[in-house]
Amino acid sequence: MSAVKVLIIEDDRELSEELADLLGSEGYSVDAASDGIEGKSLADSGDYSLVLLDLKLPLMDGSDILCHIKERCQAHVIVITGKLLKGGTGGARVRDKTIDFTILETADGILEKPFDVERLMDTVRRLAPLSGDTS
Amino acid sequence: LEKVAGATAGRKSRGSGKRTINGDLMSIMSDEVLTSFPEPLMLYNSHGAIVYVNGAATESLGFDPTGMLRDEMTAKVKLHAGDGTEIEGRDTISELASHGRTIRNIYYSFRRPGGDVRRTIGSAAPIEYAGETIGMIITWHDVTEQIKSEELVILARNNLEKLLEERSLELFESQKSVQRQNRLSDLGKLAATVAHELRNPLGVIRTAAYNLRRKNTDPALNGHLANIDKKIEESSRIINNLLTFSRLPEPKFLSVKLADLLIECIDSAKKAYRKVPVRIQRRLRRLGSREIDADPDQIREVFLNLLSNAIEASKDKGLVVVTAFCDDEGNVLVEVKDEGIGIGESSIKRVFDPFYTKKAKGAGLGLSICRELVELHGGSISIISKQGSGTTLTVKLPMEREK
Repeated sequence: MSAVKVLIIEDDRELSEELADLLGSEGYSVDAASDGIEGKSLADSGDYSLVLLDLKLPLMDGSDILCHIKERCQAHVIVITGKLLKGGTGGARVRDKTIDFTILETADGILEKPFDVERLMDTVRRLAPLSGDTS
Repeated sequence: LEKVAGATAGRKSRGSGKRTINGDLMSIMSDEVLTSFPEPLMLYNSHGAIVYVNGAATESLGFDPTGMLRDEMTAKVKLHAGDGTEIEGRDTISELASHGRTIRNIYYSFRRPGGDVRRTIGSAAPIEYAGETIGMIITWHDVTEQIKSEELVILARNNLEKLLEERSLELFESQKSVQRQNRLSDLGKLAATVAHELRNPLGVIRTAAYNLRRKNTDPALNGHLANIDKKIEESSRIINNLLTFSRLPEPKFLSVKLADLLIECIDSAKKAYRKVPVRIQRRLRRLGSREIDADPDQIREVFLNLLSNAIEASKDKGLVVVTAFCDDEGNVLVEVKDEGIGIGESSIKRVFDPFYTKKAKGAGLGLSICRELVELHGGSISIISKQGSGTTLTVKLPMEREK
């Protein structure tokens, strides 16, 4: 049984570490990228079930990576952002005009920082179920 | 001499006893000199009667006063002092001169028979002959035109100064308001930036605390971890409040009949720009009596702003058309179209940026606030424009509020 792969694209090293630790402990196989370019090439090369994506990234903007991944890969994407949203994941209403509608429509989930960890994990489990969960 | 005096008397005197020409006086004057004298000039005899008036004087006075007595003369021309007050009783110049004094450059004015007032600078001197005052000579220079032009200059200067003062006050006020807006918005931006930046580290702390609790086997640490969670929660609330505070207020949604609101906006705009020859046409029929979920104050602000932009961009007798209709996806679309100066390609990308303006007045916040307000309603705003051939702004608003 192959591991469920998750890619974290986040330039905050500590957050990336904590998330990797958390997801790893759940049973996911985790890779991490700390800038946009690295994130994009990792997404292209590996078959990830899920990508956790920060929007504000060095070298390449998160929204561009989002579109890129959605065009070419099967992976689900959860956007994690410091921008203020309303309503949390799913039908979040944009309150910050720098988040455009394509992100809302394209992403499978959006969480604003500081996100509720339980809620993140619920979303992760829903979008990338571990094979053990289904049995 | 007698011949000259006689000739003069014959020509000019009215011939009362006192008003006869003093032969001694005339003997020392040359008729030709007096006649050719380019400034007004009159001679009084020792009895106070006018015995000689030259052509310039007749012209200046508007009549020939030969033979008149001093008091008659003063009354006839309504002599005024330079400050405009009427001189009562006697004419000071001739009065003083008749007492043997020379008066120079006295400023006075008189009224001509036609009614117009001449302003003059006059001089008078006694005429002494053989140790005796035998008469006096009066001459004056008309300065009416000169004073008029001086007054005009002063008036123009005063007007100019007043205008300048008004303009600088206006400028000062508008500068102050821009500064105030800038400061407010800078503060808001600073607050938003700081709050925003704090959300990242807070997110890490929260995740780290979660991982700590997950790995924790020592129940004694649970209380500490709970405290950390609680404080992260508090900080997060503070940050969100700060972010909300530094933004425009949330819309207070009501059911609004959009056509009525648009008509109200058009009427206010017409009233505000009643001196501008721009026509506003409305095409709202397709809207019917449809109601939308919106904050009427905020939406009113949006359309008033768009209308005033359209009117200000319009040329003389331009036309502004407000068209409204619904699409298939539950939105209303309102177009505000003008035939005005339009916006160049280089500027159009920036029209929604705060503080971007090409107008002389205003801080350049209008369209950026419009966009923010429309987006707070879950809608969008777009612009199409071409330099020289007008601009169309389209506001798209969802009819029902997203829950």
